[in-house]
Amino acid sequence: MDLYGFPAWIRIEHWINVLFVTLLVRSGVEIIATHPKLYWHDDSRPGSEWARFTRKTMPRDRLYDTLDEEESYSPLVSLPGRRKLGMGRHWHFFAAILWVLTGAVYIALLFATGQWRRYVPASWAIFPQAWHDLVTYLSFRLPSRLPGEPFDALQKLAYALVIFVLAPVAILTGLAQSPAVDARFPWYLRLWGGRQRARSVHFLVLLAFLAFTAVHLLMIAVWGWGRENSLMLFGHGDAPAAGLWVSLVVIAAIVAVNAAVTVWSLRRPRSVQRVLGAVVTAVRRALLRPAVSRQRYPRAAVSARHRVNGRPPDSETYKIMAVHGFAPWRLTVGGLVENPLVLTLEDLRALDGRQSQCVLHHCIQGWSSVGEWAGLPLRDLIGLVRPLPQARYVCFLTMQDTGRDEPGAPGEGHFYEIVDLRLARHPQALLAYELNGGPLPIEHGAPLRLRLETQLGFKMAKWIHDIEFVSDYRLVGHGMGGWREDNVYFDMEVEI
Amino acid sequence: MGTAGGHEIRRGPLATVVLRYTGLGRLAGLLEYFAFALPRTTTTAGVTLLAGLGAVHAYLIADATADPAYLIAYRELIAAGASAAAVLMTLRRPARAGWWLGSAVSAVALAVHLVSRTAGLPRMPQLIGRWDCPLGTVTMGAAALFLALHGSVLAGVNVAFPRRRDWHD
Amino acid sequence: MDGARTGLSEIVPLGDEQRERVRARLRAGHGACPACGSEDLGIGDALFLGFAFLSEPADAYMVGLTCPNPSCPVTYTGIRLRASEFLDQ
Ligand SMILES: [Zn+2]
Repeated sequence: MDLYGFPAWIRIEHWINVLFVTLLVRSGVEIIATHPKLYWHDDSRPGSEWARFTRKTMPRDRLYDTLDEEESYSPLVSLPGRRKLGMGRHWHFFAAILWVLTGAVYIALLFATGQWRRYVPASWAIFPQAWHDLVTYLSFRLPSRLPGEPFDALQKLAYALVIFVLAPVAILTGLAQSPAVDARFPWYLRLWGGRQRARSVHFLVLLAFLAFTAVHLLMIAVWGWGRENSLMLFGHGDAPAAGLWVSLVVIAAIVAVNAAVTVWSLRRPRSVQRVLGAVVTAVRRALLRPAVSRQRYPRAAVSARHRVNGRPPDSETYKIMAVHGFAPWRLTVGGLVENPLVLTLEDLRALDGRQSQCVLHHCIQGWSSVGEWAGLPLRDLIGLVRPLPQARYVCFLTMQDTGRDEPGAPGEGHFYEIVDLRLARHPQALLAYELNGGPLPIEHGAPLRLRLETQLGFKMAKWIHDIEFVSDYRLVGHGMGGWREDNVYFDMEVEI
Repeated sequence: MGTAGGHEIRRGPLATVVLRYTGLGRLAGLLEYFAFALPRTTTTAGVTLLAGLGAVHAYLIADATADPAYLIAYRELIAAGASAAAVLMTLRRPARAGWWLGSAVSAVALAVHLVSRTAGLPRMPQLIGRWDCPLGTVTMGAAALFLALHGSVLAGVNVAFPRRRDWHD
Repeated sequence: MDGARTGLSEIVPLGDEQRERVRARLRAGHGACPACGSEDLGIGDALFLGFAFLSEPADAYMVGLTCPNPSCPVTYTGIRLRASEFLDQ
């Protein structure tokens, strides 16, 4: 027997890890289904993707938006499948939090017990030894284990790579896709070469995990499925028959958990949204809510074509407003305020304090673009209308009628989003009426849209015509804090 | 809305029959979900695999001088073929011919290796059953991977230099 | 979306000749203000509708009309035209 053995905590961690990794992989596939294209550059320019996992092609002569590009994958490969980004995100973040905690405990115990030596090479001599082991495997023979250790040299290096390189890179590239992290620490995103590079690396890490798992399973089969599982289940290799059967039971249990959460997510999405959302929101509030955007991209970084999500209001009123340069448009600001206002676009432009910001737009689907937005800081408007003490949230009502304008999207009614007053007072919370030096284009929300640079794109309502200060978001719509929260089960606070 | 057009590959009647009755049609449908725009990476991978295949055979020429003359000539042929294919693949016009030559060389190397270990080659009965030879495993691996890679190019999953994707989206 | 087309969802300024063709279309139909009946509506610019709006045909435009009557309740209106009805080509 070796010096290290398989203590109970290693065995428990191993099987918990298997469960979380299956949940992470499947929910990750659900997330990529929503924008099944990978890029190297942060403008996500259509056609510049290096990989795509879709059979759809987009029209050339019509406005299409990124909702049209979404794929619907089978629940066999994605959690929960069938184009449920909101559910996929809840599971991905919930599993990620538990997986990171499991990993932290694992690393702590590794170093506390001296077990780290089973993975960390003690000398450079491991590399020639690993080469020798590789040649042995290529001869279809099994190499001998390192003296007094549970693994051969190649195996030891492979595990070290997965635990100390792949897992941390997965976590770090995941964080690099968070709008709050990127907005607060722009240098961190530059470290990865941008959000799309981080996203691409995140995907390559997935492939590496899948390749590792395939080889791992093959090697267990080659070395003896029963004996290896006996080690990982009972801590000794003396019960191969029990190892075989119990391992099959454990794998069946992991499959059953996956099936159960899939069915739960497809049948009772609101309950998943509330339960998992509570856990994820608590962690997100503690870690990411305090972040304030410090983005200042150079003008040279502006994307030639900023991608579009959502279709403009297909109404006669809106088209007549647009052809007249939005002269007939009025912005109503009311609700729990001392000084309700009705403003024209000219009034808005005439207000002092016009602010411009060149920033990275983070879409929930995964794409990004850089644009320079200009308009009125939201805090200036808040100062003008003077919210009453009981006002806690700001509701942005838009002219987009989703049933009419987005027939492919689930749900109906006018699009709206709600943010709390604290977020509305952020320095880069902006009511934008310009993009890249020109008037705000129709597909980007003309005449007025919201910019919240620590949040994902869907919170930044476009085609706004009414702003209401309210005491409680639960009284509006289905009470989840916005149209997407109500209809596609997104979180209300989206720092990631 | 998006149209599910995908890659437009024209198929003849024979291909249609084969795809329909072998289940390969479903596989082809699945493959349409995967497309990469990495022509240089693809070609580099192909060239590397052929270089490995060629290097193994060149090494054997130098190492196993006592083998029958036909076997040495065969190894020279494989090494030369693999090298020529690798060079052609990096040139603009003959790149496609290079890929086909590489596939031919790989298929021959794979077949000869398998025959040498099973039925046996003339005057080389000692090779039968000798699977425990790392260079042989490298030969099989490189040849099979090259064939798979070329297959992915033909199936439209990958593109190889000098072709590019003309995705507008 | 296609780069060459991105600008097409925005405003197209009209020249005199095009405005004249719009005016002819107005005279042919009931070219009066729907709210107050004023004739002699001001003709503004055109907005291409075919790209950004789901329900519109590919060659649809909206031309802005402004009522000259200061007491009219609906100053801003518009007329929907096909490209061939008022644009050259
Ligand atoms: Zn009038």
